[in-house]
Amino acid sequence: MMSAILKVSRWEFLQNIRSRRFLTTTVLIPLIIFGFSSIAIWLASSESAQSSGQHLFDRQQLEQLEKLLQKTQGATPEELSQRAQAQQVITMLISSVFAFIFIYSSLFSVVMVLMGVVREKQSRVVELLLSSISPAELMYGKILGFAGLGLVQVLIWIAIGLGLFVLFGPSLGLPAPLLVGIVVAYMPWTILALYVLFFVLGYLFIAALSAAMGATMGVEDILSGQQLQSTLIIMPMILPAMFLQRIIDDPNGMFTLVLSFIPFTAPTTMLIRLAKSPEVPVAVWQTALSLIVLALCCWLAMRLAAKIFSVGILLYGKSASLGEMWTWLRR
Amino acid sequence: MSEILRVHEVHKQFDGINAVNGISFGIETGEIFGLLGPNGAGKTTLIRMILGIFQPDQGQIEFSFAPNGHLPKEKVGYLPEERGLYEDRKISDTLAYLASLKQMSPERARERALHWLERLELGRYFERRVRELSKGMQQKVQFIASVLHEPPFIVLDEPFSGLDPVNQDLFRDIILNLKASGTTVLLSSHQMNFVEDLCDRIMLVNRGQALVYGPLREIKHAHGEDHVSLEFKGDAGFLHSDARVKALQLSEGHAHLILAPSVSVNEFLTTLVSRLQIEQISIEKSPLHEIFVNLVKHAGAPNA
Repeated sequence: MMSAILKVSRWEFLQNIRSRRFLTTTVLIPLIIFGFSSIAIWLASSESAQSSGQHLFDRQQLEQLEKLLQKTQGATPEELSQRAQAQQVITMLISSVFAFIFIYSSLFSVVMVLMGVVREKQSRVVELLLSSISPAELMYGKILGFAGLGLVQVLIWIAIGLGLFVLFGPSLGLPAPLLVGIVVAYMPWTILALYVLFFVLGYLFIAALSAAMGATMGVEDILSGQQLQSTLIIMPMILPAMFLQRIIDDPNGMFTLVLSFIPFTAPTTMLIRLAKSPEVPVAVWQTALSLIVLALCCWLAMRLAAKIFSVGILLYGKSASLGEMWTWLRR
Repeated sequence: MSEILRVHEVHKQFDGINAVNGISFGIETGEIFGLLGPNGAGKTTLIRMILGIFQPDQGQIEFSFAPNGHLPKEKVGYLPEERGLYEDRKISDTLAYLASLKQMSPERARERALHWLERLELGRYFERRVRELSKGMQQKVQFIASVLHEPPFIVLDEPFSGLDPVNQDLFRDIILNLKASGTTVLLSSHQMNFVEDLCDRIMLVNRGQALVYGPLREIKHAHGEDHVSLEFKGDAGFLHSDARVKALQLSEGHAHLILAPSVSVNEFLTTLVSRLQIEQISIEKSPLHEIFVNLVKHAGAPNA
């Protein structure tokens, strides 16, 4: 079972990593964002440099910060509290960056899962594959392959980000090595470990649903399929990000709690809450319960999806109705 | 001969419709078995159940090489009727991938793939992309995917459709070679001339049930009519009133007629010889095409 899944995921991975879609979303979009923002920064910094003779970022402040962080002995109580505050801010900043990367990457991957399944239906190669492997193996292989694609994308972004930072940071007055040192020293490993758990479960949950959705679509319905995916899966997923302020302001309020225990919204909500956790800790039972709910729903979704997938993937040319899907599930 | 496959009382329903409704048959090791039937008769569903793509609602499917009921999928090959390959990928990669899913080592897969591509006159396309090939060439690649891992049992669903006559003959020869090398073939086709040419035994299914099943020759004897073509000198007008003649096309010196069922060919010939001077004569059983059409039409009648 596992070897077949790995073979399929490897194939899907190689198939898509060279695709134009992957190249554009991975390289072009960050470059465009960087291009615009660097122009803005350059304009701003050249103006302020002219007026005050200073860089955009204050090197002195940064060095003070570093000293503060490194001072382990003989610190005054005032310095200690300042340091704790600085650590909090740094942790939250790093966590937020990872939260954004994880969310974007899993959304990108599930969009690819849906497209990949529909395209495979269109190519009509499925029946040949199913004489060698089971539908569930095919589905899991795809989900895993696109997850790998998402991870590669994340790595590329981190590499691009670091590269640009190191290359252009100094010219903007950012002492890159110093900042990288701070980031590495204050990497919130516990939070990141929890992130990985939420990310993996959250991704598997929406990827399974997307694979099943793709299997029920006719090729001509790909556009409406993507709309449906946006409405039913992606919107709920990014909903907490739209209420970011409300969650940050009231991390233990009813609204936030409810979102923490709904499988669609749990990953994003918990990623935000965990990023904020150095300041307002998340109760252990809440993290645990959120993970358990997510894991259970994930398991259920994968089972149901495998059923729908195995029937739907062999129906060519038409989209299945909800009623039909219900009968497949009861088989 | 031992059986490689035994299908016993298999049923499959889809949304209340009986796609396959109690079919039993066996396929003998090393034979070419023809699976015939009109569109929608349940052939594809039956094939999918044999290959483990669908599970039957009822009944058993047993391969001799899988006595515990769990089908080792590397022992079967399948050319589906629905044709398709990954358009953007190279032939070499595609075949290596499909072979790897059948537990074949990459080196061996490459070697066998090259061998088959050469044989199907596609040797120079090994590193080309699928979309650069014509439909017929893609079909050859798919055929290779079904036989590459040298399975003892292969299912070919409409292998001849979409091929030109030259390539149809090429496929026919290859199928005969597979048989000669001991491979058992389940052939589903609407091309009756190839079925007649290739198959040892056949089963005709209609509406999810077997109409006839057995050796091709016996079926032709049991269900075929005698077609007589003759060239002669004399007056053959008497044939119009001969009750033994079911259908008659008569022109000056030529006649083509079909004998009614259960007429003795021998006696009929005696009559012909006594009334006409025969120059040429041939007697043949109805082509499978006609038997197929008649059986399906008959079975399709109300209350059938």
